[in-house]
Amino acid sequence: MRLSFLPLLKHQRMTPVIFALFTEFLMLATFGFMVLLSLEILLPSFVSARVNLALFFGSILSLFVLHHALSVWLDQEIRSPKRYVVRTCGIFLGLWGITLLVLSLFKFPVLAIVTILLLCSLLAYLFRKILLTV
Amino acid sequence: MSFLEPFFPIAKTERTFYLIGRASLYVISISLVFFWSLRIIFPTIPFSFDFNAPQSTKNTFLHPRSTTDQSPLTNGKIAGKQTLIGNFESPQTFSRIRVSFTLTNKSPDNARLKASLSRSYRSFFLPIDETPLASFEHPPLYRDTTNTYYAETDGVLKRFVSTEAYLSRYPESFALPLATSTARSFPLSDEWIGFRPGSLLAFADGVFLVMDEHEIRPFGNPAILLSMGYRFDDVIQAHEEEIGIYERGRVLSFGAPQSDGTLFQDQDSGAYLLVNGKKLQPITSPEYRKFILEKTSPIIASLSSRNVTLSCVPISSWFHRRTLTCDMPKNALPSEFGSAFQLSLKNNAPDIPVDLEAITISLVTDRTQSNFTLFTHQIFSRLLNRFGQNT
Repeated sequence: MRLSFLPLLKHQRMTPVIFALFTEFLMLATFGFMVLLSLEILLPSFVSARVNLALFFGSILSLFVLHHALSVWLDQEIRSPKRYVVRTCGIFLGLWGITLLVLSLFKFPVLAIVTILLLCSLLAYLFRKILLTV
Repeated sequence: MSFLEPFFPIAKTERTFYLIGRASLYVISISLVFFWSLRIIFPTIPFSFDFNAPQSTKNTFLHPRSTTDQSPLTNGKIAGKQTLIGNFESPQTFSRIRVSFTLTNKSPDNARLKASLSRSYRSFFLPIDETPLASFEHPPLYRDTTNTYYAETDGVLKRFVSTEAYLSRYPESFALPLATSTARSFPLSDEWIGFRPGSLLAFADGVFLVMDEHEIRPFGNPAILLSMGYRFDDVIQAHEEEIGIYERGRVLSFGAPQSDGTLFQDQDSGAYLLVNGKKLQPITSPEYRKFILEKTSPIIASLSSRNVTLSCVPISSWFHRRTLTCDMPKNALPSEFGSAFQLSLKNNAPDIPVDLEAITISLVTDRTQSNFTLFTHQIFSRLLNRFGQNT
């Protein structure tokens, strides 16, 4: 009984369509979260007074886990993106991260800014190492 | 893969389904963003009370009660000629107020109710005490050689928790030197005397309002403190020992009443009124008035504007016979003196009792160009404030 419907789904002709739409929905939700987070940093409490950002983030994270699990179970493999798409996304995310960091550190004491930037750089280095190893 | 191609290889036969699904996904997403933006730019803020669940924390229409004896009317039953009152508070701007309530099946269809609304500070709606504060009364007060202050009450000596706590209540000149004979003749109480009720105390990251001799309550956020009419200039920095003598009560939110000891000034007559035991007590003692004005700034209110009321007669809607609704324009209510509202619901029928199931008051922002401009100005000034530019 356990997950016995999965082999059936695997061979359904509509499965790739639904899975592609699910992926696209996840992308849109992540983009929505980025917009809301940027707004919250620009205008503190403007978003959090209306939307529970932690719940939103938790939901997206859970959907990503579900997406990954389904892609393994259903043998659905994402097409590897073209190089220029990866580069554009990387530049966009990098600029967005730097902007958020600068806005968040506005009016912080210099020592705190240096400490936070140092920690962020170390974390970025760690993530890069992990990514390259994987 | 590009943004125009699917994330997965899709057979040509299913391409049409995919395109339809994708278009629907984008249409739904854009519609959701559009309607969410509309709700943010032109909000409708509801305040409601469910008489079937009077203890529910979701009830934002506060303390429904009878006008005559202030007794709670949380069962929703309004007898003939009786009036139900309740409060809510919102510092935000809006266009009109919609009053709506639902009758239970037990209630007659021909209910004759009249809704009235006035605006002021929550405690400024209290009735005026006929006995004014005519003298600066105080118990025998002492100061010992270590500058500890004492008050002799009920045959015992009570210590003030600090000099600042004493000075928040009485001038220094009232305290007599504590003679050894006095100290011996009265037992020393374990109870401490703190700050004057109505004082604002800052400790750690919070600001607290002294409610009475035993309780302090923290403000939920700075906007609540300002909305209640208090000022940050009047906040006293307190120490751990001074705060430690009090029990901490619930967080103060919008709509909370100002505590006993809060000072109001009526702008029309210039009279000073002190909140005291669910009444507004006029201060006629020049000595006390001079003292309290040195300690705190009065909240400027207006007795004439608290009496300005908007009224409407709710009528039943065509789709729901038991739901009665009416609208009141906001612009007729003065907005300078407080953002707390008091709604009165009078049952005009002499012999027919009315049984309410729920009541909802909505502050509606109309979708107009001026409201949109106001919203953009508010956002712009918040942005400037965020980066240290005062507007």
